[in-house]
This record gives sequence, structure tokens and C-alpha cells, in this order.
Amino acid sequence: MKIKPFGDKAILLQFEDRIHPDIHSLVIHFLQVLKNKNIAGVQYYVPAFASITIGFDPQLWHFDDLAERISRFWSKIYSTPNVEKEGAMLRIPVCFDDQYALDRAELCAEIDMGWSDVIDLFTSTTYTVYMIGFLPGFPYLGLLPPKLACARKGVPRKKVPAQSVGLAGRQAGIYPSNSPGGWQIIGSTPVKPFDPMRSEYFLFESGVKVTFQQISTSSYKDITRQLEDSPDGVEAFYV
Amino acid sequence: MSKLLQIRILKSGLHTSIQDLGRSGWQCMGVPLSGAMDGISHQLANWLVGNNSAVPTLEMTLVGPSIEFQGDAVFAITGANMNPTVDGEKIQMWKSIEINKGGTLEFSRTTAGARAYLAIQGGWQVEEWLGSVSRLPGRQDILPDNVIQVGFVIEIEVQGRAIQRSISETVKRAVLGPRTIRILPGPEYDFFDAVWIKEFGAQNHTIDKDSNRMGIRIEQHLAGIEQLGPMISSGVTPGTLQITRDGQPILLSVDGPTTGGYHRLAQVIHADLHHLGQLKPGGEIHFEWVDLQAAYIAGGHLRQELQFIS
Repeated sequence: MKIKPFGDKAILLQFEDRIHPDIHSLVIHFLQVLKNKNIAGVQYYVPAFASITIGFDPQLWHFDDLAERISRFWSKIYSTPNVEKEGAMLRIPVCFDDQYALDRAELCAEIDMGWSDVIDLFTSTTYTVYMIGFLPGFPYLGLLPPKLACARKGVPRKKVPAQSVGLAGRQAGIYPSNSPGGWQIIGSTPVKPFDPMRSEYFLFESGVKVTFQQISTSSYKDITRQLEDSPDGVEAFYV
Repeated sequence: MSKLLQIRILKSGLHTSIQDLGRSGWQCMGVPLSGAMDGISHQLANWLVGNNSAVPTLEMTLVGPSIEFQGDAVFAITGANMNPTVDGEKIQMWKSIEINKGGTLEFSRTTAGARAYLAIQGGWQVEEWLGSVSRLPGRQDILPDNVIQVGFVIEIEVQGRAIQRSISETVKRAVLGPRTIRILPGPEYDFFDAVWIKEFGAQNHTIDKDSNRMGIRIEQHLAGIEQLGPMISSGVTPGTLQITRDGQPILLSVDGPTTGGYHRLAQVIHADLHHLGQLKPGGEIHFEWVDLQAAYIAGGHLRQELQFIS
């Protein structure tokens, strides 16, 4: 892990620069260690695939001093075996019917697979939230099985509907709001990644495990109605 | 004794919004900092009327609004010069001003800078979400009234304290400053060609029309960017200068994303971040490479100049 300056009020912890479950577990583990230290003057953390960005108050810290402090914590981690914790697991219902699977034809042609095989493979894999970013509450989930790896759309869509489930590279993502976007859309979930009506606004956080479960259009509508009536009902999707 | 002041928006201006110091700590969920884009002008405006710096101000962009005061009030204007008038009479900026019930404050097109800030003495009765009044980009459903439209009424609980303050020329110069943005090497600085990096600092750049609170685009396309190879998405902050896949430099601002997949060439020093709010589409910008030590010294100077507001 390398500690780099990121301007004069942020630090970048750059882990081995690969998308890999072991590297990401280390990111999440060290993030937890740092958070538990409650370092005064540290304002925020942005964990990503192989990095952590740490924002700090430049009145309280200069880069060198905070970097030294962090490297001391790191040296202790490095010699401690990284124990895999049993984290939270979410099972997200997804409807893959045509009205939601906007890029079905394009994707099947690109990866040369039948639609039902795509759904089977997609729903039989367990994913990890590698990062939240791009939009408030947007989870980057990985890793997709190599067979499902696909390119982003050549021309991004001007408006991807909120709650669309998309694929890009070896990642899956869920759009929390309507937004322009280039991911290949394979379905939609009735569960909002970000809902200001809930007591917990954000469904996902980095490190959480996720699986997907196929549902019908009528079940999609039922769940949508139930969650409108009681937004905190999302708890039912934690396994 | 306090009373409720109402101000009514007669004309909305080009993009007028209610802003404060933003919300920090939610970046890990993809929530941007937001808040006033020129945070220093926002704080100075509040100081002029005796408000705490966390009290909201109106952020006005390029063309300002017209506002009718339905009660006596004290206000102050900082930032871009939109030639403010009260009932047709020219008034001074950077100074606390009294206005009587029925008075109309009008702004026109800016002649210097991009964003002006209007502070009004008292407690603004404005809805907050996650600790800030600032609208989350792309989510009109949250804080729907915080981007101003014609007919909107803002209520302010006025204390009625007399105050006469103004900002000295020295401070104004330190805040407005020359429009050179000082930058530090970003995390992927070493990926770029040394000659190009030097030129980037030596040239004048034009600000693209497609610039806003999320990011400021520079009218330039760097050739050969595809040779940099892929990049794994990682954190970005206001002031990150990234180079897109088609070679365009984008300076991320307060409403920008919290993560990105483009190479981060540079990072604006914290003492110059507020200048981003004053960059006008079509205007010029100049960058100067500095080192960390210079950045901390510049931060210290700015804090010293602004000691009176803390």
C-alpha cells in the first residue's frame, strides 16, 4: 500500500492496483481500523476498489504528519492476519422482463449467450459492493463471471430509469436515480438503492455481499406497492 | 424581539439557489459536499450582516434575481458584481445595507465573476437534508424549494440588530485575487508527458460553456490520452482536475461526483478552491503548478486575512 498526497487536504491510500476480492477486503478492513481510531481532523473516507481517499482539515494536519500516522497503523495491520468477517448479505429482487431489460438484444449478441443463460449465471453469483460512487447510493458490484463481462454502450443512454440494473466490464450496478449512463441494462429492481423516505437512506455500503433473485412483473409491482406503503420494509431483503 | 421577514422572488435570475457550507461525511455514499461554490464570499456575506457562517445565503449565477422585501431588513452582497440596485438606486457590495419594507433589490448581468452571494440578517426558515440546505444534484424531489423560481417566498426570522460592517480592500483583493488557480500534482500526474504538463501550466485556457456546479470544463483536447491505459475508479474531490477519455480537462466542483474513472492530473490547493465559483463560461483560466509547502503557506495566508470572520 502506498500513501500519496491528493492535494493539500486529502490523502490517497493506493493499494495494489487491481480489482480483486482480496485487495478489496484489505481496503475494507483497513478502513474499519482507521474509522475506529477516530482521528481528529479527518473529515471523510471514500473507499474504492483498491484505494481509500481520506479528506482532512488542513488547519489541523499537514500531509506528511497524517501520512506518518497512517503508515504506523498500516504496519500493525500488515503483520496481523486479515480475518474475513461475516458481513451483511442482501438478496435483491430483479425483474428481467422486456420492459426493463433495455439492452437484452445488444448484450446477448455481444457476449454470445442466450437470455435465460444470462439470467441464470447472473443470479447464481454472489457479489461484493466494491464502491459507492457516480451517483448517491450507486453500488459498484463485482465481480461478474467472465462470461458476462461486456463493454459499456458505445453511445451512453441519455436517461437510464432509476432502479435499472446494468452491467459494464466485470461489474454490475444499480441506478438510484434517473441519470445518463452507459451500462448495459438487463433489468430493474423494485428496491431503491437510495430512498429519502426510509430511516436508512442508503441500502448498500462498501463490503456488503449481494445476490440477485429473479421476479415476475406482477411481483415487481407488488413489492413496489409494499415499499411505497412502508419504505422501511426493505429490511426484508437482508438475508 | 424577533419577527418574521418575508422576501418574495419577482425574477428568478439564471440559476439562483439557497446554499450553505454543504454536507460532509457522506462522500462514502456518493453524496457530494455541495454548498456555496465560492464558500469564502458566502462566509463574508454572512459576517457582514452578523450571521453565523452556517446560515444560508442566496447564490446567484451570471444573471441575478429581483427580490421584494416585505419587511425591514439588513443584507449584504459579495462575490460577482451583478450591479445591484434598491428601487433603482445603485448600492454598494461588500457592505451591510439596510432596506425598508416594500423595497426591491434587483440584480442584472455580472460584469466581474460568476456568482454573487446575498446574505440577509436572521435565521432562514429553510428545509435541510443531511445537515445542509443545498440541493442534491439530480434529485429535485429532495429540497424542491431550494432552487429559486418566480413567486417563491423565503421566510427569515429577523432579530433587528443594527450592524454596520464592510470588507476592506486588502481582504477583497485576497479573496478575489488574480485568477490564477494554483494546482498540485494529482495521483496520476506521473502518467502524463512532462512537456505537456509544463505547457498546461504555461498556457491560458478557455472555460467551456458546459460548466456548472458539478464541474468546470476546459476547452482543450489532449491528444494521445488513450495511451494512458485504463484506470480503476477511485475517489475524487472538489478541485480534482481529471482528463476525460477524449482528452478534455474537467475541474470537479462542489456538486461533482465522489468517485471517478479518469486520470487525476492535478488538485487545486485549498486556498484557491473558492475561485472555482467565480469562473465564467467563456472566460479565461490560468493554472500554476506549486508544491505542497507552497499550498500550506497559501492556506495560512488566506486564513490570516480572514481571521476576523472566524
